[in-house]
Amino acid sequence: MDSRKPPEFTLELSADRSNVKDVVKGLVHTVFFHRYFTPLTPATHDVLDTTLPYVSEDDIESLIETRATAFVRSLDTATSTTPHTSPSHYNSKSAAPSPSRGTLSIKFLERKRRKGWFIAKADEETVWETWLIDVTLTSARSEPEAARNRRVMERSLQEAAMRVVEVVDGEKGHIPPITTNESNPFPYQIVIHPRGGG
Amino acid sequence: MQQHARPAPRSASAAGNPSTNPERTNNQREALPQRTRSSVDLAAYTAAGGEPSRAAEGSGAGPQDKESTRLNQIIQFNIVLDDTDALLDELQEWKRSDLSSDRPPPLVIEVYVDTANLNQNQALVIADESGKRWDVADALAGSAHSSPRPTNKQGGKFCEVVLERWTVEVGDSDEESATGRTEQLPNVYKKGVVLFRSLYTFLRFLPTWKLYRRLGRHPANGGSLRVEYRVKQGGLASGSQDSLLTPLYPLHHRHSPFEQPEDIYDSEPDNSHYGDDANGLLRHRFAPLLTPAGPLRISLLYRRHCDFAVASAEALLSSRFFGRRESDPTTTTTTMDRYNTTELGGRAASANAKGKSPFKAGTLACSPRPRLPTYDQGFSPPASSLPEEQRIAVSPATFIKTMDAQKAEIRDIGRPDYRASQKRTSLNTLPQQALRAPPHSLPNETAIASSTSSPMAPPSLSRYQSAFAGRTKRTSSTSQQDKANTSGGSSARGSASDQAASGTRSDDEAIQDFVGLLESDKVKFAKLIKPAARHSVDLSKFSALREESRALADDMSASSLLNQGTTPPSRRLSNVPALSTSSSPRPLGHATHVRSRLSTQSIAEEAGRHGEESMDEEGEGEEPLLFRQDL
Repeated sequence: MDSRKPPEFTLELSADRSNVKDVVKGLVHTVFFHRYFTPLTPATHDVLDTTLPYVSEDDIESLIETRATAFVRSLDTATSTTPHTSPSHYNSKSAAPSPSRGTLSIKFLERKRRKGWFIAKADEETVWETWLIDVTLTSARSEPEAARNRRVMERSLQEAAMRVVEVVDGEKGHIPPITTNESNPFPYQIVIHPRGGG
Repeated sequence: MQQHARPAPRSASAAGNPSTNPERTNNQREALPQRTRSSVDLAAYTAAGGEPSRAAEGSGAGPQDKESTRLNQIIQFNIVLDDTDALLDELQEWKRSDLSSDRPPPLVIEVYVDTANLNQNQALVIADESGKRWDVADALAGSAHSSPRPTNKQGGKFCEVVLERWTVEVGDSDEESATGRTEQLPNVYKKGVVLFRSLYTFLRFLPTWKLYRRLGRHPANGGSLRVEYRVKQGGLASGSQDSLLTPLYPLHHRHSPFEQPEDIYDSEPDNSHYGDDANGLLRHRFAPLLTPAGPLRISLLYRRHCDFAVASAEALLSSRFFGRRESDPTTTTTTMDRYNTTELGGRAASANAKGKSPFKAGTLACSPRPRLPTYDQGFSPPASSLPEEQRIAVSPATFIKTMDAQKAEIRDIGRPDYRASQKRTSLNTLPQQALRAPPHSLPNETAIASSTSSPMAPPSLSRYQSAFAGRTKRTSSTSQQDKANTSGGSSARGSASDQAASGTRSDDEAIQDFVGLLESDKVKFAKLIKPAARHSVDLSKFSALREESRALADDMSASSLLNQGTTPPSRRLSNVPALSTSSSPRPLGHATHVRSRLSTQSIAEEAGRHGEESMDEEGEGEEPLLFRQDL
C-alpha cells in the first residue's frame, strides 16, 4: 500500500426511504465514535433494533444531522429526476424506479504544522483516513418486498457497523500521533457525492 | 498518575461508558485503581483501567484530576466512566508493578443468566433458530456429572448458563509484540482509545446484549431471569461442567435453513473445544494492544443464541409428553379427542390440523391450539418444523383439569373463560400481568379479530366480561384453553411474541428507558426481569388470530346450544364422530358462511406461517361437512 495514500474504507448500506436518514446517521456516528479523540461520555442510540454508539457532542451531532439531511435530499433529487429526464444516461428504463445510490464520505485530517518559507505558518491538513459510505436506496412495490428490503437493510447496517469495528480494531497503525492537546486533534469533513440512478 | 507521563493531550479518558453491559464495561474499566497509582510503571498494566493509567502517564495529570473529581467519574482512554468500587478486589492483582515479569493470570469475566429467582413452576428454556424450545436445565444436567442439581431458594431448578466469557490477559511477548516494548506510551494510549471504543461498540452487537435488552423491556413479573457477571481468575480448568461449553440443544436443530451459519459478528466458530461449530459458540479476538509490558489481548467466547425465556414447568412437561407421543398416534388421538370434547363441539376453528375426519368437530375446536405458537410465537417460522402433535402439548394432568373445567362449563354457552381463569391460577401466572398484557397486545392484533370478536360475543360471556375488558377476556380465555397445551411454550415464546406485540408501541420508550437504565445501572448489575406470565400474552396474540374463529365458533355454538339446551359431554362425544344430531340446520348455512370467512381470514392472518396455510385450507374443506351433521 502506498504509504502516502491514506487508506480508504468502504461501507455499504442499503436502506429504504423512511429509514435511510437514521441508518446513515447511525453509521456515521459509529465511525466518529472511534475517531473522535476527546473524552466522551459514551452514548448509544438504537437504529433498527441495533444499538449503535452515538457521539453526544453537539457540534458533531449537528454536523451529522445536517449532512445526513442534505444527503437524503440529494438522493431524493436523484431519484426523482431520473425517471423524468428519460434521455438521462443514468437510467435507461424510465418506467421502473431504479434504486438510487449515493456516497457519503468522511475524511479525517491531521494538521501538520508547516513552517512556510514564504507564507506564514500554515497548517497543512492532510487526509489520513477516508470512509466511504455507499448508500443504496431501495424502494418496494409490495408488502413482501418491503419486508425483504427491511431485512436487508437491517442486516446491511449490522454488517457495516461490524466492519467499522473490524477495521478500527485492525488498523491502528496509521493513526497519526496526537500532537495537540486541544479538544479534537483531527479535523473531519463529511462530503456528499451525489450520484444519479444506480 | 496517569497524567504525568502522557504527552498526549487526551486526558485520560477511561472507558467511561458502561460500554458493554453495565456489568462488563465496568469490570474492564475499573477506574479506581489507576488514579491512585502514583508510579506510572508501565509494567503494571491493569486489565481494566491499568492501561489507561499507564498510558495516561504521559500527560494531563491536571485534567485527570479535574475530571476525576467530577462526579466520581473516571475518564480513561477518552471515555467517561462512572467510578465503581465493584471490582477493586479483583483488579488488585493487576495493579502490581511487576506485571512484565510475573504476569497475573488472565482475568476472566463471565456473563451468565441467572435463574435464582425462578420459582418452582418455572424453568428456563432456550429457543433455537427454528423456534423450538429446549429445556436448559435438562441440557445442563444431561452433560454434567450426576451430582444433584441444587435448587434455588424458591425451589426452582437451578441452572445457570454462561453466555459469554471474556478473557483479558497480558500475553507473553513474542516477536510481533516485541515492538510493543518500545511503544511510546502516548501511542499505546491512543490505540487503547480506539480499542476500547471498538470494544464498546462490539459489545452492543452481541446476543447477550440483545437478551439483556429484551429482558429489560419487560421488567414486570418478578425478575425471574437476570443477567449477571462474575470475575474470576482464568487459566483454571473448571472442574465441574462448564455451562458455556455445554450445547443447550442438539446440533441438528441449529442449522435451519432460515439462518446462515456465518453471521455478522465477525467471529469465528470456536474450534478449540469442539471440532466445529457444533456447540454454537463463537470466539472473537481483539487485536492485541502492544504495550511495553506485553501484548494485551482481549478475547471472547460467547454463545451465538441467547434466546432464553421462562416457561412454566407444567407446560414444559406437557410439551415433553407431547413429544413422546409423537410415535403413538393412539394416545395422541385420545388426547385430542378428549380435548376436543371439552371444547365446544361447534367451534368453527380453522383448519383441522390433524385432518382426521372422525375428530373433525373436536379438532376444529382444537385447531387453534396447534396453531398456538408453542414454538412459533414471535420466533422464526417454526410451525412447519414441528410435527403437529408437538404443537398440542397437553399433559395428562392438564387434560384432566381441562376436562373438569370444561365439564363445568359445558352448560355455559361457548366461552371457556371460566376454564381460562382456572387455568390461569394453576399455571402460576401473574394474573395482573396476564390481564394487562392482552389489552396491550390487542392493538397489535389484526383488526379483524377485534372487529369480529366483540359483536360476536355470546351473551353468556358477559359474566366474564367483568374480569377483563371485552375482547381481552376473550383473548385470555382462548389463550387459556390453549394454554393447557402451550403454557410453557407460550412463555418461552412469550418474550418473542410479547415483544412483537408490545414492541411497536413501546419501542421508543423502551429504548429511552433502556438507555437511561443503562446509564444508571452501569455500576450495579442490572436485574433483568422477565415476565413470567408471558405465555398469556403470547396466547393472547395468538388468540387474536383465532379470535375470529373463536368468535364464530362461539356464536355458532351459542346458537346451537341454545337450540339444544345443555349438552352433556357424552353427547358431545357423539358429536365428535360427526354423527347427526338433532340440531337445527339453521346454523348450517350461517356456519358455512361464517366458516368460509373464518377460513379466509385465518389464512390471511397466518399467511406468514409456514405450513399453516395448508392446514387452513384443509380444514376449510372439511368444515361444512362437520357442521352439517353436527348441527
